[in-house]
Amino acid sequence: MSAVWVVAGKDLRQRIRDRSALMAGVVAPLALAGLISLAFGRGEVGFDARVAVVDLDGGPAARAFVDDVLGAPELTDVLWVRPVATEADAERLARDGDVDAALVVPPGFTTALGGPTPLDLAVIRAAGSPLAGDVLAALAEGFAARLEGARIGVAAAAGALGTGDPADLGRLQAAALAQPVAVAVAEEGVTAEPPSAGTIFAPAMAVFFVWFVAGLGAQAFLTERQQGTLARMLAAPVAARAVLGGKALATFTLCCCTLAVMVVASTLVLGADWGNPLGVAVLVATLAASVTAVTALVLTVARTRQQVALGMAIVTFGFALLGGNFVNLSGAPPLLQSLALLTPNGWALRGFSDLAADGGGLATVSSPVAAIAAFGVLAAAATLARAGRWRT
Amino acid sequence: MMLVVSEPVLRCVGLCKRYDDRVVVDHVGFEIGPGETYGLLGPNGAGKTTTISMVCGLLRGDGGEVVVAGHPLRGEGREVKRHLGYVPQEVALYPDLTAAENLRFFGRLQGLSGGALAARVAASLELVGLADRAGDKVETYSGGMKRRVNIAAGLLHQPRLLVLDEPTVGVDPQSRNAILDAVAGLGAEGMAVLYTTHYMEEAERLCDRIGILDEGRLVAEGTRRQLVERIGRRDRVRLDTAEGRDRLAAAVRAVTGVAEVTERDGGLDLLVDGARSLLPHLFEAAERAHIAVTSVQVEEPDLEAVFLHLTGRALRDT
Repeated sequence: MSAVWVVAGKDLRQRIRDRSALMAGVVAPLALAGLISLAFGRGEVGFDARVAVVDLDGGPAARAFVDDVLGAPELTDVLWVRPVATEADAERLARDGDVDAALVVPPGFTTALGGPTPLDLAVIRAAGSPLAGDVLAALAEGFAARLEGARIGVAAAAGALGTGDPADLGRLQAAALAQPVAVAVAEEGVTAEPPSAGTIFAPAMAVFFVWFVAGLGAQAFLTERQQGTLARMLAAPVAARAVLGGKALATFTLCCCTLAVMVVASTLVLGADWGNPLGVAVLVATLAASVTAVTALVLTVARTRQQVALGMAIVTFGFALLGGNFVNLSGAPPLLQSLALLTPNGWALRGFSDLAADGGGLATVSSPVAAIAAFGVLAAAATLARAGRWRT
Repeated sequence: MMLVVSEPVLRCVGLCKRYDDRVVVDHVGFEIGPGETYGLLGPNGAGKTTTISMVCGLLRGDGGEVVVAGHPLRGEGREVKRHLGYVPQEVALYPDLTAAENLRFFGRLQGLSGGALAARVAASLELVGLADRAGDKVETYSGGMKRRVNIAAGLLHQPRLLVLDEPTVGVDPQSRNAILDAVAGLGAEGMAVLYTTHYMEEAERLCDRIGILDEGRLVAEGTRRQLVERIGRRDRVRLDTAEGRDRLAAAVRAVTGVAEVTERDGGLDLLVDGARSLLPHLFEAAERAHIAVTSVQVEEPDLEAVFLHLTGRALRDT
């Protein structure tokens, strides 16, 4: 039997007997994901908002927004629309917390659509509900974009017909506005089937805790070095790289098992939807390999048990904070979203999220897999360059 | 008559190791033949562990050559390790595995498998007297028992050279005796043994030849007798008799090897060369003179004195 398998088999036997691996790899992430799910209630990410609408225009464009956009069937369980008469009333309701946000359609809104300077829809945000204001603003922007498209279309049609007659333009605009208004913003996520809390938090916790499992492997390596068993292995007629390869294989296997158990358990217990199994498997294997390589690099850099513990803590929490394991970065500023992609965690979460969202397969995770693999290859190359320090 | 000269199992030539400007092993060289137990004796920090780490291929030296069973370490390291059993100073075992599991693991790394592995595990545990505890986790063992399993792990593949790095440190007297008996038995079976220790008594009891290491240098080497003779000390033998002391003195003076005879406190104090070999001749001389010797005491100069003589320091004080 190859020394790689002998060493890996021994390590796995020890880790399985050591319940800390089970705790860090399965129990803790599952418990934490479950607790977070409970915090959101019924296992789903709930969002609804009470919004006030002030229609000071009364024209067809304003009615289209209020009736077709805010009143769209897809939003009936999300938005509770309350018409109010004046902007002052809307401000008072928002200030008193009676609504989460308000939208004001200014007078002359419909008429201004045909002119050079269309009027803006105004959003009033309540202090305690920033997300509702964001949603309302997004809906308004989407509607404005739709109207702008209609305006340009009308202008193009008028040009094609060779008419500058205001009466003709008026008929064209009326015809354009009479078309059903699609809820463009809603399709970007607000009205889509909301993902369950398990779908969001199970990958986040699994990716976070897999670093702890790898950290246990690093600690085990140090223990071997200190108690002399590593020297004893290297005194046997086996290559040093076989010993180290066996230990890396054990850590990789444990990381894969941890992630796999989390996938299965969170699906059964939390109702998480991970998406295409093949895509998930490839993502899991790539992430496990990358985590193993980064952990090996930490081992070559650190000299003492304390340094390894500190190094792994920095890596684990640094990647988790930047990568979005603790905070859903979908609504975060672009800078934070870009920073997340500097970590394997960020790419892994993006991959799992994409798989769950669009039901795609390998093609969906090709970019995350490539990025995570690049992390692993870089870390492995740096590890090999420093491998001389792995002597006893 | 044909002279048979056996190849040394271990040959070290000019081993050197330095850390920055500090030389920890300075051109150390020695040989060990089949069945020979060679002791590296020296205080803590003398370079014993560094030397055997280089012998076992665990540490790359800055110079010198190691040849085991005819195979140079440099270039044939894996072949060297097939012939070499290593017993580190610390208990290099997995406490959460049983003794048998530990031995099976290290045996597989040595290339053993199947029935051969099982047989060697059983035999090694039998040798160190722990066959009945094979299924117990090592963490439940006493310190001495752990040490014995530690040795068994080095013997699994029946190496031609066994390297033991201070295997009795922190061991109770009973386990210590068991370990020393086991090592002595290995030498008797033809295994070459390299044994490092800072216990003078162990070196004297076990080793056919001893190398004294001090500050990285091999300051002396030889059998115990040769080392003692280097410092010019003679053994002291005390003979007591109920009567005929003068006749006894005259009789033993005639024995070759007796350098000096002094009458003291009703007995005789003799300074001799090689008391152990001379004692039978002294008794024969007394018998021929019809004198009954009532008691005998032998005091031999020990390795402690040798070390003191060679280094200017006491072995135990360093």
